[in-house]
Amino acid sequence: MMTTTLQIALAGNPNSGKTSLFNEITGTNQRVGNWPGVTIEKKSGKLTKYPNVELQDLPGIYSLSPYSPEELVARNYLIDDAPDLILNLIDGTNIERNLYLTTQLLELGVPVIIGINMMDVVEKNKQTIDIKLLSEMLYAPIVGLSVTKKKNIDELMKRSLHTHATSEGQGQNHIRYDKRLEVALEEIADVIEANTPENRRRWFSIKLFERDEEIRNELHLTKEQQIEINEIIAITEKIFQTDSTSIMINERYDFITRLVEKAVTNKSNFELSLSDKIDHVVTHRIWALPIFALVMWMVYYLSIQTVGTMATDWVNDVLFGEVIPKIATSWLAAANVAPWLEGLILEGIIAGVGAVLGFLPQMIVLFLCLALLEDCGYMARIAFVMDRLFRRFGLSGKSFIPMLISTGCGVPGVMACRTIENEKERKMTIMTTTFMPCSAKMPVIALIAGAFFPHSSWVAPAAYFVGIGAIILSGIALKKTKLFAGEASPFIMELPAYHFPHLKNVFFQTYERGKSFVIGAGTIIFTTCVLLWFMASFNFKGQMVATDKSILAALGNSVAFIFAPLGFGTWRAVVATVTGLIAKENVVATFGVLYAHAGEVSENGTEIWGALRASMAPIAGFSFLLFNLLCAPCFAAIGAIKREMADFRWTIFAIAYQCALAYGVSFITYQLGSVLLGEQDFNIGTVLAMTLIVIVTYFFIRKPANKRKPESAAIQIL
Amino acid sequence: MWATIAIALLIFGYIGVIIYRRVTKKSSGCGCSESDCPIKSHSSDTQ
Repeated sequence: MMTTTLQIALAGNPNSGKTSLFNEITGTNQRVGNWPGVTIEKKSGKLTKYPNVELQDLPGIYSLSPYSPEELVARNYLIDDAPDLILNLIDGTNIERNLYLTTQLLELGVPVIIGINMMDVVEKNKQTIDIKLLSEMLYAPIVGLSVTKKKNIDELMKRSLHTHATSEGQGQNHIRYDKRLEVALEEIADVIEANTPENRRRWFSIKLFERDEEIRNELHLTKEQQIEINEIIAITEKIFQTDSTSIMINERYDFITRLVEKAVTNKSNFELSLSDKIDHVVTHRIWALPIFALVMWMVYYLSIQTVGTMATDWVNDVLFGEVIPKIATSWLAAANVAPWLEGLILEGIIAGVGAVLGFLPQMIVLFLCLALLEDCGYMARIAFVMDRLFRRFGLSGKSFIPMLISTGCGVPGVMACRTIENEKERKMTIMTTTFMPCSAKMPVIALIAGAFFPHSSWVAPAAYFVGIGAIILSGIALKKTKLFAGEASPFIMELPAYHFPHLKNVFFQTYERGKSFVIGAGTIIFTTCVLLWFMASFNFKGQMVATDKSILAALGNSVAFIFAPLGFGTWRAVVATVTGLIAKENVVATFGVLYAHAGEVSENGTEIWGALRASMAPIAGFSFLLFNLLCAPCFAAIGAIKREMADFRWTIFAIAYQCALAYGVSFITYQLGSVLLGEQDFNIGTVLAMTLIVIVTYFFIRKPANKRKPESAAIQIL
Repeated sequence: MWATIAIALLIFGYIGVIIYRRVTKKSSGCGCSESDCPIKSHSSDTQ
């Protein structure tokens, strides 16, 4: 076994291609995305070609200031764990901004090698970067490369190992700023000479000059030292007539400007790139949202209504409807197994798991479409567009990134909320991000759309917009309470250039999501189906009985009255909703088991649709869909909410809010919808629904808590 | 009868393995089981 001898830290700005490079050289498949903030924790992997080298993929950061959680993770690793080498990956198309972090990394006293990524795009943009000159000016080795085109990656790794073996890349003492600032930094270095190692003295001097509290505490400076440093800073601030942090920022950018002027030439100045031209349309003030709605409608139309449905129909009707049940029946008959076991396999496992797997083709098409949109850079634009919309309602576009991730799975979506610094906003986003339909909710959407609205193309995409709508409306209402009152935090996001989707990324992401769906069906859904079959076959005395007299029917009937006002007060629908808490696919599996078990249908998926249609009206079906979309997520996501909230009461509050909102929305939809469609007469439920609308409207239009406060204060003073 | 016992053992044994793996899974830090974790943040996946 080879021991790890070399630790390399992979650092750079968000969306500079670090995780793609990491995957390429470690042979792993970490999640990559064409938007900033995909990596929220550091990850490690050994290099395929050099197994004694370990690479740490750090979250993307813009600086080494301890302001955001990602910056803290990266900075703590670089300072405390002291890697042997820093591989700084730079986006060549945004070199000026990327070099800001480089100047800080070079001060750390750790050898740095710089990789300038996206050189293919740089050339396309008619830019040239004089790598040799840049390398000389930064006193660090630089390799130009393109990770997506797999160009020069080997060269970068070879140079990295060479850099470690030699004294290259130690540029901390070679970047020089204004002489007056340098004098101040040297004086601070003299003051802390006894407290710091030589190779890091400049870094500590700069941090102390910037009044970095963490570093000040770490160095355990004496009172005299602190007074002396404060005097040096105060004199320098007087000379520059600005605060010390601004001095450092200005000096860094002055240095970078000089670098870029000499080393970068741009022949396409003032020419709009293709990305700019596309952005003029898709991020248009008025057209952006209708275009987004159209795009999402097309995605769902392709996956749920047309292309995906053709394959799903075959899987449901032929594979799980005829082929597998027939083979299983003949095998079980030949093996002469007990009737109960035959029932368990055919009506429990095949009907339940088959009902979920039947939707796999639709899911694959949907995952493929979403992966294409993400990889080409469109979804990053939607975060920008949504920021404009969210800001009006007191939310930040930062909340959209977790929402975007939640369309895959709510668990990483909730985890991605860590990147939101503002505590109130973070908590609100954690509470609401699982409203987005995750991949496990897709079969539920497809089931309801197929069973009740087979000819309407709006139902499936409506589920997506119901999720966004619930988040926005929650934002409006919650921001007006004392708990969440406050201005939305600023959202700065770099829009990556559009590019043709990388097939490897797209197929990998689709495969990963599809695999996760199949594993879920083969494990948790399988187990639940077996349990459900037993509970639907036996009574409390342990006797085998008809489904309507089973344990499940008794339990479902005992709580069905709660859901009766929502239109789906049947025990089967109630059981499906409750089992959905284990995993949302269970909603579909439960119907599969229960209807197949009752002998109402064979194991044919579309027959389940017919049985479902017979059990409730379309408006009740839609109400059922809304409730299952918005209510508490699965246990795994609830666990993630608990961890991210780090507070039991907040977790309970979040779950209660989600369930109450789901109940309210379903109640209003069913009560008013059934009256409008003539399925019910005007009744007490209609009055209650209208009252609920008035109450909810009050929460939307009332004054925010922070604006109500001064009034009450004034009353107290009077 | 033997076929019934064998198939039943197979099914319940499989369920036992699923539950055992869920209960004893290494914490991935994100709540997902390791095999289907969509973010794969744990280092065991990358080494």
